[in-house]
Amino acid sequence: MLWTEKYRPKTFEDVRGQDKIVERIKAMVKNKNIPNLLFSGPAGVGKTSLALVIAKELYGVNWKDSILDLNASDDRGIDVIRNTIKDFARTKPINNVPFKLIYLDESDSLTKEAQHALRRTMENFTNNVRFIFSCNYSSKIIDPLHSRCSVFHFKPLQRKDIEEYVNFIAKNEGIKVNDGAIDALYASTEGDVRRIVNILQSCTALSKTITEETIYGVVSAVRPKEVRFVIEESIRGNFVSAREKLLEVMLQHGLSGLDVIKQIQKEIVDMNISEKKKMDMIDACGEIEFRMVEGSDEFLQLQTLLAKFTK
Amino acid sequence: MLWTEKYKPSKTEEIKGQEVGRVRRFVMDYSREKHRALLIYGPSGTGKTLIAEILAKELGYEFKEINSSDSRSKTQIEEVLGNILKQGSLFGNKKLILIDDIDSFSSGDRGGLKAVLDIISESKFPVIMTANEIDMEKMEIFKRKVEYLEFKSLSTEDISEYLKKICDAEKIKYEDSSLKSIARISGGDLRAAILDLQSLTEYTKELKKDDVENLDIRYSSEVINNILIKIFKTKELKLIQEDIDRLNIPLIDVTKPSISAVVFGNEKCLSYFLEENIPREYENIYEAFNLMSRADVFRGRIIRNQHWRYLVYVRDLYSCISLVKEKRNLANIKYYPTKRSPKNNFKLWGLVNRKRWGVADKIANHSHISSWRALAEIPYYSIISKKFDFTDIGLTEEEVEWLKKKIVI
Repeated sequence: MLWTEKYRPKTFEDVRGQDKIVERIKAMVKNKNIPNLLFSGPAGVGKTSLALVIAKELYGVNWKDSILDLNASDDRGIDVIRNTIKDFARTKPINNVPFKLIYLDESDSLTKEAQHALRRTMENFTNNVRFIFSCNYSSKIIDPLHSRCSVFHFKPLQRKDIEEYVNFIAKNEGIKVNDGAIDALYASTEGDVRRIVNILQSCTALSKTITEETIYGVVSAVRPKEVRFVIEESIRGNFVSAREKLLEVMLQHGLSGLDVIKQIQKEIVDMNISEKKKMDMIDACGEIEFRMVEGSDEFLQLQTLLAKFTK
Repeated sequence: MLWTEKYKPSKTEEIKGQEVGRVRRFVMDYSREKHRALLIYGPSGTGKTLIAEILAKELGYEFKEINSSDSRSKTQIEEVLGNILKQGSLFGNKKLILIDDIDSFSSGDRGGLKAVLDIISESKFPVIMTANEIDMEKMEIFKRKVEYLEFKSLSTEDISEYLKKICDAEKIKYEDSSLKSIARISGGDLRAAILDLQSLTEYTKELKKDDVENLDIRYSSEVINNILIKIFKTKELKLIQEDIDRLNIPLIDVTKPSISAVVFGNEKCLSYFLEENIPREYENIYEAFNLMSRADVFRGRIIRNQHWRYLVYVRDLYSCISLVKEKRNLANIKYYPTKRSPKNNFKLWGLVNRKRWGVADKIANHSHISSWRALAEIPYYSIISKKFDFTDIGLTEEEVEWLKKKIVI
């Protein structure tokens, strides 16, 4: 059993750290009248959870029949999405709610064309379907979709929210988590609750008492070792082999360009090189991360970073 | 009217180079066949779908088809096929069922593939399926359940013979060598060859050698080679700019066009060659990559803001790569594009990570996340699996064993 599901919020009260948003949504749900919604915010802050809670509150026990949970980055092509939506929208909603819900996760991975196509689909089903879009970056969602949705920006969770949540799980599972461990969890995840719960469950698989060391042990064990090798290899001047290895690591572990650069930036600090060199490399990471967000080809940007290290 | 329709083969004899007889036997002797479906696989334009259509007509079978433009959820498929198959041959009407492009059923359609499998195992009528690729994880459920038959790319001779017939019918003047060129360029895809022929000759009624050469340039890497030589061996900024402006390559490397590939066919292709070959040519590679990187930022901004004027900077930054070399590398180098074209990557994923994706898919389904996200979390699941059960979310024993071994702690 995965704790990320076991401890997924079941009611509005369980959703932590997003009080203002929850309050507004709750009022909408009470009146059984919600607009199309756009949830934006980083990973693991409760977007999916809130969408599922909305469905549970609206439809009761058989809520699963009335929400269609799609992931834009998995479901290949907008046609598949559209057809699935068509099928789903054909049947009537239950529990006296006039509409069914479609939750489209990672909407920002859709191309602009696909988003435009969706806009038409939305219009076709305004009578009996409400959409909830979720995305990491609302800037990647086209204006016409924005204007058809109420937009909610989710914040990363605060340390105190995380502490409450972790303590609740610890109590329930009969494990001990000390204060240092909570700091470590917070520091190494940037408030991503799904990651926190995964780390916590990983630690529990190893020991009943969880300390700072247990956390860092797990975190460093899961880090692909190859990234360090890629950095070292490029410093040694072997650009071509570094780049080959990098491509392999990304494919093997399914890492995005941003995942990689995040890890490179973390690794640099612990490396055995001069402080001046570290500074230059971190500076380069920042510049390349910026270009990656602005540009179109993540792997090209990473190659540029490696080339910079080679220099 | 498209010539691909107008001159579509209508008899089995007209389908060249394929084991037509095997398909015919499969349909006619279906009741005695061990396998319940025939899976024809191979590249586009080799006649996979066509053979089913034609056979149905020749043998007097009613033709039922599910193709990729239909929605293919489990319910949809059962709706369309379930009834047909259950009716049996009550009215003595024989049916031939075609399920097209099963490799393009998406992961969201996975229930669909399972439904197909269930249906074919009960079917009283012959089922033919087609696919471009069979070497994919999701296709594994068909293993041992279906008979495989490969359709190969057509030979240049077969294609040019076919084109000749069309030319005669359309009263088009041509030379043999030009037809051969079209055939060669098509890479064994008859449909592509017919389309090229039509676009070159429909109005002129004459196939000119020049035109075919133009077609050739679209596909050959010679033109790319020339630009690369200019960039790497000269410092003629203006000439290079002009060459890039004239560049006209369709998406030779980009088989699954993403938006950026469609928009930047030329620039993207050039960029794939540059990135692969800069390290072979330059000693100080950073300056060159830095220019590429900044050109890419402009590409991103064009995609987002549709400000097309930025395209001149993409071109100019690429041209400037010629200026940052310290000294000319005199060696004669053969240029290749990057190995990371989308198609290659896809193959890599499929082969190296079949199990990994399988596990990620199952966890993703269970926990409302994308397979990508699940993939990134696999190291954690590995540690978790050392103590917690994963079979309750649908992983097989074998998958759990694999997962456990991922991380040693």
